Amino acid sequence: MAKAIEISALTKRFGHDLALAEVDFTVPEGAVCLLAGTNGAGKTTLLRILINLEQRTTGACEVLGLDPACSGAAVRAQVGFVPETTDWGYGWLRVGEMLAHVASYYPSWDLQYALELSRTLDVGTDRRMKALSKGQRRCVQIVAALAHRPQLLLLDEPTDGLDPLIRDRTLHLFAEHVADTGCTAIVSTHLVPEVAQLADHVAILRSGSMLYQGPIERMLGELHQLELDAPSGWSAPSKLRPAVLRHDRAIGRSPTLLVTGHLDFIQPLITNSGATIRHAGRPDLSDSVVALLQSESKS
Amino acid sequence: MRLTIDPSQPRPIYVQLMDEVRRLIVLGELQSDMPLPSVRQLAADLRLNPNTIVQAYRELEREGVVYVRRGHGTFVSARLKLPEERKRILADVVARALIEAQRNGISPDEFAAAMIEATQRVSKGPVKQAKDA
Amino acid sequence: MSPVQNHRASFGRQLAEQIRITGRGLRREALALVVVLLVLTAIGLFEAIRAGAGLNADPELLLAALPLALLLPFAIWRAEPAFADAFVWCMPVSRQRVAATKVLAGAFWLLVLVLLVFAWIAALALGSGGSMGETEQRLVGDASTSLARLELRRWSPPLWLWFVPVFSALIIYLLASAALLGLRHPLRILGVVLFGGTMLVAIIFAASPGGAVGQSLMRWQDLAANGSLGYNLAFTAGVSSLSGEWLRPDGQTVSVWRDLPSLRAWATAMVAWFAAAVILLLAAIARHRERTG
Repeated sequence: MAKAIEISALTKRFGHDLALAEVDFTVPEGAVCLLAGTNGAGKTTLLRILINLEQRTTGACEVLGLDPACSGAAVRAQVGFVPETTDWGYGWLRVGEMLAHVASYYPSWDLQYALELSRTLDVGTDRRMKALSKGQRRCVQIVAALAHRPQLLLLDEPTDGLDPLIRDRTLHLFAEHVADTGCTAIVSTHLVPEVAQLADHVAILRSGSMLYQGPIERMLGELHQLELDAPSGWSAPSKLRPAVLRHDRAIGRSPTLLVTGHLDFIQPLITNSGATIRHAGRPDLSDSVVALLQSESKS
Repeated sequence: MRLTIDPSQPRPIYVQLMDEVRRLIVLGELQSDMPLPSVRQLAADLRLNPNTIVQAYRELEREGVVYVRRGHGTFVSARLKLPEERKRILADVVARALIEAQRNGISPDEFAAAMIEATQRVSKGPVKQAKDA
Repeated sequence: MSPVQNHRASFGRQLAEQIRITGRGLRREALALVVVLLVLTAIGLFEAIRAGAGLNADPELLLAALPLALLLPFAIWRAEPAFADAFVWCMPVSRQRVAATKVLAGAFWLLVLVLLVFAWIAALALGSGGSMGETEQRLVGDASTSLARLELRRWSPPLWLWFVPVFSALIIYLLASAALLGLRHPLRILGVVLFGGTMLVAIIFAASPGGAVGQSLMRWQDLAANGSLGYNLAFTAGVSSLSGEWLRPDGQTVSVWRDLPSLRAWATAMVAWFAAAVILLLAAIARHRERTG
């Protein structure tokens, strides 16, 4: 399958600070990838490198077949970017004028679509940019990113600052846009549940390293939420411990384990240690991401 | 007609969608040769990834529940045997109930006995909502 | 993979858009200028009425635009700093092209500004009954030996003298733009250089007044200011620097001109400085290139 983004061994240093370390990251065309991670993990830096707002220190990077360091402008022409910051300057411009100015850079700008998007997100084209709230400015950025129908969407906390109604409409918009244009999207967000249904890929960053990246179905298929019937004081056998991402010692005798690996291998280990699996289920994405982020910090 | 999915359920979303389509067929809301919502429409309405919808529709087509007409959409199969679909839904519902029972430490026999008692109460009194039971 | 189409607008269109948007961004500064001009008009007219004569215009007056030329790049780049995050760097245009179009857009508005100031000067002068340049007699020659060998020449400001401030403003604008684009912290560096330089010079003169180093520093300074490629000549055509005050035997001071401003002398110096400014600007823009290969 064609790759929209292919990164290998990417490293980014800011002076002595290692922001990204040997990151491998692949996103197939048409995928919606959820980029999750702790604060300062390097999510924003990664997105910025994809469109050459930052230059990578070492490693290979290909976005839509181009190297952003060499063809930054050509890559940006195909990308709809919603940045982390909502401050664009141009406070004195009216929203309509701001969008017209953005449109002047993109010959593929669809005016009708831009108007539709503005209406859906309640963006009043007559108000001055500086009079808008953070959420309203964010909506303007979303319109600016989607209206030229880019092949790739890079969204850095796109729903940050949005009220619940607009947030819902934004997700509706993204779902529609992805279905209409078949574009690839990377959504960096702290609100995993919100984007979980929209995404079919996930990438988890922690302190500059890629913990996991791949299809969500594959990740959740490899994880199991186990409810155990165990004697009090039971703890996981040593052979099992590397596979345990989380061990909740809840009320009473039933610990819950979040484990990774094959059940055929895990089940006998549990039975031999004196516990039985009462229920084995699929964890949800949010829990899995948190568990993965927490587990690495132990090692 | 409204398809709903529950993200908190452990079943993958595309499986839930398939079950929803079957439910509507069995309830008679979707009849033979009726169109299913377009991938785009459903994805937008449910805030889902369109590939999830595509996967669900594709699986349903494989099982002969729906058919695809290029350029026109996905339609409910005319050759659908309702009794078979009802049996299948029944099996799914029972399986889920048994898992829930086991989670709560209830044996299948206990569960079966309680089911019979509950159904006798239902046939005597008005329909209760799930949350009142 | 579908081929990446060429989705970039033409340079001309981008430049036109940049001119438009830069102009919109400068409207507060334009308003301030209008207010200042109105105040000066009021003062000027008051003077004219009080003196009972018209105000005379002089090309030197247009040199007042030079500080504005220095400040203009700061106003233009204030909202979109060259070394920090800005909206314009996210656009599908190479950073070099953005820098070039912004500088050119600013140059356009600079010329508009100079034209405006010129029109105002002309309106004030002609409107108050004055002239666009007085004719006078000037003493020309080398007065260091004897005042007797000086010539008296008739002088009225030639037309080309009105163009000097236009080019001077452009050169200063280009130099300031180069500083803003080429240096991450231009004001800091400028401050350090000026302060450090002044301290150094002060120390040298304090340590050995009249010494050899001090003497050659003074010579260099004179060359830089008044030499054939000096800044006085390049920026002002020497309208004031070519003259000096001398004491007559009878105790009165008189203005003596080393030479009268000449087109050729000015053009040579100006072209040299203009070329230098353009080279510095191109180097500064090159610093922002998105590297290839």
